[in-house]
Amino acid sequence: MGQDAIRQNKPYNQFVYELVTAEGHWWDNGAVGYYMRDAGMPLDNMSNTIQVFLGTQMVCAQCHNHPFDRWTQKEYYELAAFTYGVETRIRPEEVLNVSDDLDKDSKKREGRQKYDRNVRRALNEILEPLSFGATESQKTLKLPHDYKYDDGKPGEAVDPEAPFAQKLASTRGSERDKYAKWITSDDNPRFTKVIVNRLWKRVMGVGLIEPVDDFKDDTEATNPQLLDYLVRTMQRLGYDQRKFLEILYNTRTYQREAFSGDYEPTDYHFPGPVLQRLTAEQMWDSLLTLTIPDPDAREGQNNNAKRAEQTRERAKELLAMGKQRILALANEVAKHYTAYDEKASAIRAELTKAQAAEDDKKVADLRKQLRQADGERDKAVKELMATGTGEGGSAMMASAMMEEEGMSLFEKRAMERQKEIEAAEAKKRAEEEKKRAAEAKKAGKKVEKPADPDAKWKGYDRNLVRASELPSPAPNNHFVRVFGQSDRDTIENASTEPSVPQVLELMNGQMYNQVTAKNSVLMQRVAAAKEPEQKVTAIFLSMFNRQPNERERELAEEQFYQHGDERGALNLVWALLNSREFAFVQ
Amino acid sequence: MNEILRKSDAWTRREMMSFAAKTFLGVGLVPGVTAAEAFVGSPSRRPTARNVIYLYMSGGMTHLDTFDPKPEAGPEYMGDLKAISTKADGVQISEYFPGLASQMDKVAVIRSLQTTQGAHEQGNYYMHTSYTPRGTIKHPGLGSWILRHEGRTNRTLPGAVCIGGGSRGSGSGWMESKFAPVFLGNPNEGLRNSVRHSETSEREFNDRLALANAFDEEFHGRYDQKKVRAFNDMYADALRLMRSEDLNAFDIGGEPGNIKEMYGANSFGQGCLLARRLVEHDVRFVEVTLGGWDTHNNNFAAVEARAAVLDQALTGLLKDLDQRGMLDETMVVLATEFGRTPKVNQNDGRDHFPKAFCGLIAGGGIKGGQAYGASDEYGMDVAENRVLIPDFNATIAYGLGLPYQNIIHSPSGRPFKVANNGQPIKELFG
Repeated sequence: MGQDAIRQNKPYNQFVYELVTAEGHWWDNGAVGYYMRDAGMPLDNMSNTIQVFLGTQMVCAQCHNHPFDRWTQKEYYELAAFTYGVETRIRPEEVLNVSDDLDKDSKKREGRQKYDRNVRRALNEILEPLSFGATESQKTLKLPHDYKYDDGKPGEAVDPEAPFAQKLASTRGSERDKYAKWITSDDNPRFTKVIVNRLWKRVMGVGLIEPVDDFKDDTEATNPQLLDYLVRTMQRLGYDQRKFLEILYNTRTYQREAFSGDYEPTDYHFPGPVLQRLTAEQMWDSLLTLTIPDPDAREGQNNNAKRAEQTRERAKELLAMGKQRILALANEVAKHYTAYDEKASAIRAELTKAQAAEDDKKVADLRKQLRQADGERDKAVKELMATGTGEGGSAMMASAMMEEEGMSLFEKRAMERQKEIEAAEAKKRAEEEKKRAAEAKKAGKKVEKPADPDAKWKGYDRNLVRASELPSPAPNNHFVRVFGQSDRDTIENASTEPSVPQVLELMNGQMYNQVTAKNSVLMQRVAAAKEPEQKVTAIFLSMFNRQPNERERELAEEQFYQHGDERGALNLVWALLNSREFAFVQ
Repeated sequence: MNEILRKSDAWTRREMMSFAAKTFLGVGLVPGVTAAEAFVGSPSRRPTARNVIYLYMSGGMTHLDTFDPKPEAGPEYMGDLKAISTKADGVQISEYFPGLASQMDKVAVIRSLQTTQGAHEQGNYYMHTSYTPRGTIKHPGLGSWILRHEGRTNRTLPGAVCIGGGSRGSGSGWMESKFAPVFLGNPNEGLRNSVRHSETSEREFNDRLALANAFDEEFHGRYDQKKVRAFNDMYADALRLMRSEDLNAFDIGGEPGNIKEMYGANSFGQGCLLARRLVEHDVRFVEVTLGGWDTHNNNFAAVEARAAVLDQALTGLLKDLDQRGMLDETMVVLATEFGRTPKVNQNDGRDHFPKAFCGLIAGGGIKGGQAYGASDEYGMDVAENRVLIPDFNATIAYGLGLPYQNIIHSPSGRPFKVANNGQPIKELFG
């Protein structure tokens, strides 16, 4: 969805407004992910919003008046009150409207804790497709129990109120609507400044205000007139980021050679952009462009729309099942959980004894038994769920995959998504194939292969797609992560600092193999050039975007004369890839 | 001015002595009396630990369901979870840790930790750096502090390694990138890309390097900048590493099957095994991350799964270090950003709880079999011997003999200490 908004060049203020006011299940409106990311942490969500869009860090004021800035804890709470009612999780009882039944049920029973817990857990698993999104509730925010200032009492309810001494743009609509309008208003003194400063930094390598997300009352831009001009320009353009960037890219400042000194605010008078290392994504895309044809057109495997479609279907099935059948299923599932709990507890008691007796063999055996019991339970539950909800089972599958360690939640989601989509696509292709074959047979014709829209990328690894088409964030060890792509756990977390793994990747990594494969765009260009002279030109133009000078040409052609066409080209590509000129934009 | 500040703290006498010992004697720590103590009268004392294996439980590890159980608090707090006795007299832990129970004689559990941060990012950062996050500076993690104070013992391998992600606070912060840890994803893959392409001969590889340098001549002439030089430094480090025999420290492939099994067939377990190998090769600080502790929903099921992985890995690690005689000089630390609400919430989960939680330290001079500090009867607050995050980190620094009271200035001239203003818990040491 974010990608669509960028493709459509949606005005930035509208984009932010829609994000902040997002509502619905995630499979209906992907923008609710903005709230789901901070599930259970509404206060953090507010401070993230204010940091990202208003460049203002209020996070300290969550627990006490800000020590280095003017924010009071009261102001923090007043601002958080706008979105405090947003619920990202709808509890199963609420989905089914069964909380009374559950309570009545449990009061009758002995050992109700266990019963309660396992039934609830089963319901959580079963109802997962209906449980996530963003909805409004009537929850009110109260001051914390240890509130220690004079302007409020602990536990006192807080009314939403915006800081920056400015009237709310609208008095009608929901609290969240007011909040979003206040953030994105032209009159908000920081909203436009933050985005133009970020874009300026993206183009020139350094912001007029640094850091870009920590504005304070006394913060001054290195060039205040320029910043004001940029703000007016952005507003005049109706927050059209593409037009705005067009202007920046056409400035003489950008067009000149990069500043040769180390950046110090006092020594830098805008002679040109500062020297920047390619970002992780730029580095990847540069190498991709040397490798596959038409990279802009190739779609990634990471297709949210398809997964949303599948979950929407499952949600519908669940709703059709009705409360009684779902509860019955949950009870069945819970039995497996309970049986497992008892078994595991017994095995663990044995384990303690074996461990104390230093009986390593027995310890290993008991650990295996534990894993087996765990696996058996998961399998039984998965089967039950599949019978219960038709498609089903995928909630369990997902939770089984959560066992994969060292991965962030985003990565886990990306992995689940990937697997589900692949399976669904394979199934769909097989079905279509079967259908076509059957039709052809019926008509007495020969089976025809359909035209493949992806034919031009045949023979290129399917993970070779633009960085913007990769799962975000990419898995831990992916090229773009090694080069400093943000893990998206925290704001402004991307980096262009060099590291040993980056260097190893360039010298010995997979990307070199892709770039120098026979079918790569670069190597085909080299093969098409007849003489070393043209081959050298092709490689320099492709990798440095310039002709070699005389000395470089001599060195480069020498490679071909000494080592032959193949090794000569490989040596040259490797050397340019491992030059600083390739990694920096000058 | 900055230059003077930096120079004055670049080589404290203690560092000078310690560096001299390493260079001239070929050893890092002289058993008995260290050079530092003998000659300088350092604010620190004789180090009892040489290296650290730092296990980070990411997401906020519940204290009640791990090492501070409250069997008397009732099911509203404990669910059905039981506490079990351990090899340490009077120290009970949760039944999810049957293996560790047999190793608690080596472990000190600290049950009175308290943090000021209730959100993951801030809490994690605070635990790693002893400083709360600021928009204006990034603080270094403990690994970088060790390297900044004492340098690498093994001059070829990275001095600090983070396995399984690390966190924002694990990096070198305002310190130079040469003090930064190397981050590894999968412990089974060794150090990625550390071997040249198979079809390239060593001679060809060297020719290619020379060629790249020749093409860069003009670029270097024009852009003699810090960030370019930093990139060059990384090439030097990477090449030294590629050409080193110590590289096989990263390869757990050669470990016998029963050892691999003892740590558990999962990335955290294998990460702990790799940590042991690295420490054996004198890597000074290895962090291994285990995620999945953010149990807002279905706490008990989620904790049980995490605990099974942790129990096996930590039990294996302690036994292995002990059998190899490495536990005396290797400090094993288990830390997390905060605890979790003692009262179980309506989603059968537990939420963030900064007011009281627990951590572990074993080896490296720590007296095992003790519980330090206590939370109250429900785990709702610290009841005795409160330990703040900087105190916890100062304790690690103290064990390592780092001058925890010494101020080091950032390039912008701001003063910092390895554990902020933390005071070590000296009672933990034997």
